[in-house]
Amino acid sequence: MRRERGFSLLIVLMLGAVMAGVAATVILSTRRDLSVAGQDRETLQAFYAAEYGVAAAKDLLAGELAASAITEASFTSWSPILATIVTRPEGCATARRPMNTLDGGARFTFCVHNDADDVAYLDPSAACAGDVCDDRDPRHIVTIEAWGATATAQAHVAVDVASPSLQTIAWRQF
Amino acid sequence: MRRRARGTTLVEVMISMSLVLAGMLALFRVLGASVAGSATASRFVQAELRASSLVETVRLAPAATLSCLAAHGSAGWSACGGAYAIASPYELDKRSRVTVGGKSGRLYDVNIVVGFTDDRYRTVALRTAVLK
Repeated sequence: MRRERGFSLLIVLMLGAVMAGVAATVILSTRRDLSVAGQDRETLQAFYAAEYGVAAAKDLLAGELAASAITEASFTSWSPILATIVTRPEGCATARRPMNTLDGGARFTFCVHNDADDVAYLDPSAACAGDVCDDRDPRHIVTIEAWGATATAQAHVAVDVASPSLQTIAWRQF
Repeated sequence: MRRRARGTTLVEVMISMSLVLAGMLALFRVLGASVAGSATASRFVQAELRASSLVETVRLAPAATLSCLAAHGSAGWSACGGAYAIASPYELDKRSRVTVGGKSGRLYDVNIVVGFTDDRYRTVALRTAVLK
């Protein structure tokens, strides 16, 4: 009889331990679900923030073209294709521009450059003369890089100086 | 001797049952909170998908449609096309907007906010821009 004393308490303690284990598992699972959902949202916001940067850079170029600030004379050599821009904060050669903050905490920045490596990315076999890689297509190509908090977008934009226009010819995000 | 032994067992069982009851109540509360949390996470994902889908629709819209969206508040976007609405139980928050500006005057700032209500009103906001 003495050996049976406290037996039910032992059972209760074991049950309590099992319930605590179940509760801990459920709490961790829920926290993981919420965390994954939050991370997905932040990634998506960064994706669109980087896209915002690309659009803002294209707007800058379009504004320069419209104002005739960029002329054919600016494109006599591969570097600098955007002589009027590269020395400004928008140029990648300068210190990175400060982040712009959008609603919800998403942030972006961008810069514009004409790195010859990007021509190789577009067409590794291209025989380029300066910034023009195809004599039949006199458009000049510039590269826009934009960053969200956790995502980067890169766009290669063909600039037609003769009849001012912009066309995105390649785009990638990573 | 037998009576004392039975009495001890009864007290022990009552204490045990009260402990089990307290534990089960706590567990049910945790399970309830967990179900609510999982439902919230699922709704966030759904709202995110709807917001993303709408952002892509707006990004691909022609300039005339974007101008229409910019001219109306989000409540009037249905006038610009049926694709610019969000199905219930999700809703297009009144903070959603399209504005036009930029150096070129062709930069459309797209801010899409999708809201839903579970235990309280929650929103998912996506913002991007498109040059037309």
